[in-house]
Amino acid sequence: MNLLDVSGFLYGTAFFAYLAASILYVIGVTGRKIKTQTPGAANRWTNWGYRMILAGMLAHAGAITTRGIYGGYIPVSNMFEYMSFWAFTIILAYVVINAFYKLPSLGAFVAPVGLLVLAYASVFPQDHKPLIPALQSYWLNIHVTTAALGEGILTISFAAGLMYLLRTTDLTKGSRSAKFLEFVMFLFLALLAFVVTASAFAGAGYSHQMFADTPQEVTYKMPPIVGPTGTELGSQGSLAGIPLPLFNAPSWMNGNNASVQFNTIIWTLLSVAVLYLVLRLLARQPLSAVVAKWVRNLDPDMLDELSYRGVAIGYPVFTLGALVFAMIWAQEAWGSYWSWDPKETWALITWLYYTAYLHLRLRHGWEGAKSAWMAVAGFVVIMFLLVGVNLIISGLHSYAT
Amino acid sequence: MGDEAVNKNNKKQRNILELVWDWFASVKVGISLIVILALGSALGTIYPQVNAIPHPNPNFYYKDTYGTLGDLYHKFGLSNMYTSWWFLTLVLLLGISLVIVSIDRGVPLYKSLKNQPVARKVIALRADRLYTNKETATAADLTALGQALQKRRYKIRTVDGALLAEKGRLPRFGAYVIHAGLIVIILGVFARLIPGWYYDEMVWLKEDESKTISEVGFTVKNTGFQLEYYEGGDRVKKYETDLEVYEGAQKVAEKHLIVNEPLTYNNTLVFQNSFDPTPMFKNGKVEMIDRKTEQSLGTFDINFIDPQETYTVGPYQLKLTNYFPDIKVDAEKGVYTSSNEPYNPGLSFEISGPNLAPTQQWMMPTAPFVEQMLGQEYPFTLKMVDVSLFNMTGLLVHRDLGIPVVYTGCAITLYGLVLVFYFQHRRIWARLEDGVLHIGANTNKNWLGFAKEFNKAVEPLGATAAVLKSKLAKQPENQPEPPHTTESETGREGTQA
Repeated sequence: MNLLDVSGFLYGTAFFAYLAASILYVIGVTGRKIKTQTPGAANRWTNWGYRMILAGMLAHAGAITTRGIYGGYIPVSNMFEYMSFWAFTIILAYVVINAFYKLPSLGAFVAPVGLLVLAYASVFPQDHKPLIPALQSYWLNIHVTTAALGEGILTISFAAGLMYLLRTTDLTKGSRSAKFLEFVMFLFLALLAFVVTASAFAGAGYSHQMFADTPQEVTYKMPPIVGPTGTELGSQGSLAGIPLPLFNAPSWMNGNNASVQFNTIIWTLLSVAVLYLVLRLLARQPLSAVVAKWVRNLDPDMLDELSYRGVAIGYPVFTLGALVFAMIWAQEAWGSYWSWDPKETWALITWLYYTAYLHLRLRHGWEGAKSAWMAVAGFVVIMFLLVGVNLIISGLHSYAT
Repeated sequence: MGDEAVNKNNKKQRNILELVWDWFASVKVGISLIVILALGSALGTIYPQVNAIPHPNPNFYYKDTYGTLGDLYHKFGLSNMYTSWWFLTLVLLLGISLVIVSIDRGVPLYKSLKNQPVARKVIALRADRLYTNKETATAADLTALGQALQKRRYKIRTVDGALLAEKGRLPRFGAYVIHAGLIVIILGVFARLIPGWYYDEMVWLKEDESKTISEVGFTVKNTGFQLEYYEGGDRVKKYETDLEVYEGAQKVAEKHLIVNEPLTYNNTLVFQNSFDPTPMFKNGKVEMIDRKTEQSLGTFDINFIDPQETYTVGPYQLKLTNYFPDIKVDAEKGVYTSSNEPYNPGLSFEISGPNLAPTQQWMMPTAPFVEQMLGQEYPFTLKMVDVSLFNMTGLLVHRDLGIPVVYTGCAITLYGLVLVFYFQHRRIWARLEDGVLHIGANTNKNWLGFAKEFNKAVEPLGATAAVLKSKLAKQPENQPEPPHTTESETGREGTQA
């Protein structure tokens, strides 16, 4: 058993600890009989949830450390390593902020987010590869960890903003806000559905190769409902009587792996539709209304303040890590501090986004709902920066895929 | 209503300059510029920019790789967007807005804080979110309070019967410090327009090759290049160049150049940027074999970069009649070389010797099958028995005298961020009136921490601990700032009596 195995075991431990914490937290904030005198105060369940979070965080730190010792650098060089590190910073930011705010219901939101991000990380290949020359620099450790920490803190802002909206929006009326909130729930489930579907097919060892129009062979990790442009329909076998591919990617989608990605989206949509309908039928009310119960009685002003605090603390850290350190390293490695590489451009866009947030809030009176919506949408911007750019656009940072 | 009408009237009479000033100073304009810049930047990431495509001709590349949409993208200039006039104009507008906003808000704030009165009306003190008082107080209490606050690093100003303790005034200007930093960054970026401040060129060098770059005043020479892969794979471990720098004939610097560690000379940086993954032929040992007897006749050496004209093997003479360093054989174009670099050498020899009519024979080390196709009846086999290959090193010669300016701007920006988000401006006013000491206080953030400090300072005097009033409890007429800007600063300072 080498260090890499130890690390893998610890990642697994962290995963299950976060899972346990999420369940404990949700029970703690939902249960009627175990309600305490003060609304939003800790109870036995959330206390144990917090302990599980701490245990998971320690295991997670151990996993990162052992993998780091094995490779000789902080493991943040590919998507698996980076995303799991981000999950770590989310949990870390929560633990630190919780020490000041003592808000158990925040854990009911952050723990599932951290859990999901860690689970999402595991969808990417986990094999350890030695570093290419451009990454052989101590700046890898400094730049990526600081940027991840900033993004972790901004995630707390998202969680608190969402809680604020769930607390203040009247979900019984079908207002636009209510619909959007339900859509946020749907997006969260979509990520969950993707992770579950991808893990299920990966677990079953599914892999299907076929030749497309492109010179390269394409590999499907999920059964090809969508084929590459020009594939003969039904030529790739069938799934439960449905011929594969059922249809082909339109010809204007001509990226290298466009059809595979399109296929993944179709599978995700199918599975999230099932997941959402099942949960919706079980709940017999909008899912946002179910989750809103976790935050009833909380002080909206405090949530608003907390969401702002997340940006106030996370924004300078993000500026330092994702822009300033990035520029210094880019200057050393690529010979130019700014190359308009998609990743750095999106880091700038994220920064501009939160700059707009701060100006709107501090200078234009956008407190409360508007500000909270911006914090929630900010999470989507960060997700695109971290994942979308790598999957859809490649560039100088493409070694991260 | 009446006031507004007067204002509107005044606005009409303002001159163009003032209108432009107001436009740039507007919060809405600033935020709009930020948002437009973000959206514009996103537009440029849809497809790679021209400088990032692996193809010399963008006109074909976008159409071939991304179809019609890609073609349109290129034709609309989005493939070279970040240097386009409209994008640079946006950056410029934002820069102007940063300057104007900072002057428009920063200067009045500076003035009002500089001229703030020490004594405030008691009614105003009572309205502060932090307020307490001490009955039957004397001037000694006021002095004691001043000393206690001085120990907490407050700056104390007193007038008869009143006191103002203040600390952290600079953080109030944090936002303008950030703006200043960003302006410096923008200046540093545009500094490249100054002649001689910016130069950027990729230099490809073979071993022992050198190139003089007159723009930066020196010559770079590659005296050796090493390329190493990780075990059992095609993943590059390292690539390094032994680099020498000359001014004229004199060697002035040398460095074992690796990625992430550039050489600096004469304010210019030389980077190990890349390498040519396709190796070239350097030297080769060729064995000449008689095809009939299959006997070796001997060997000769070829330098592929600068080949000799004749070679001797045993009794035979080989005359190099044609040399294609990068040979291509095409049905239409015939035989030609696609470059002058020996990636794929093709050599044609005229062989003469005893009992042999001079014959033409081809040698192509990377394509022996072509050789065989061309010459079934060649009398000899020319077999490469030993070869040394090399890769060209890709060096980036980069001079940007604006870099220190940009870094300075970054440092200023970060300092401003720390001021804005981690430090506060705290003020405590005290006033002795009719034997009662009234103490009020104000800060721009972290009221809870401030309340603790406040109470620690006032309790020893015998005053009761103040309880922090909620934001909404503030009395509107004395409110220093509109409710939404409690975390920020406005140019107006309305609390003074």
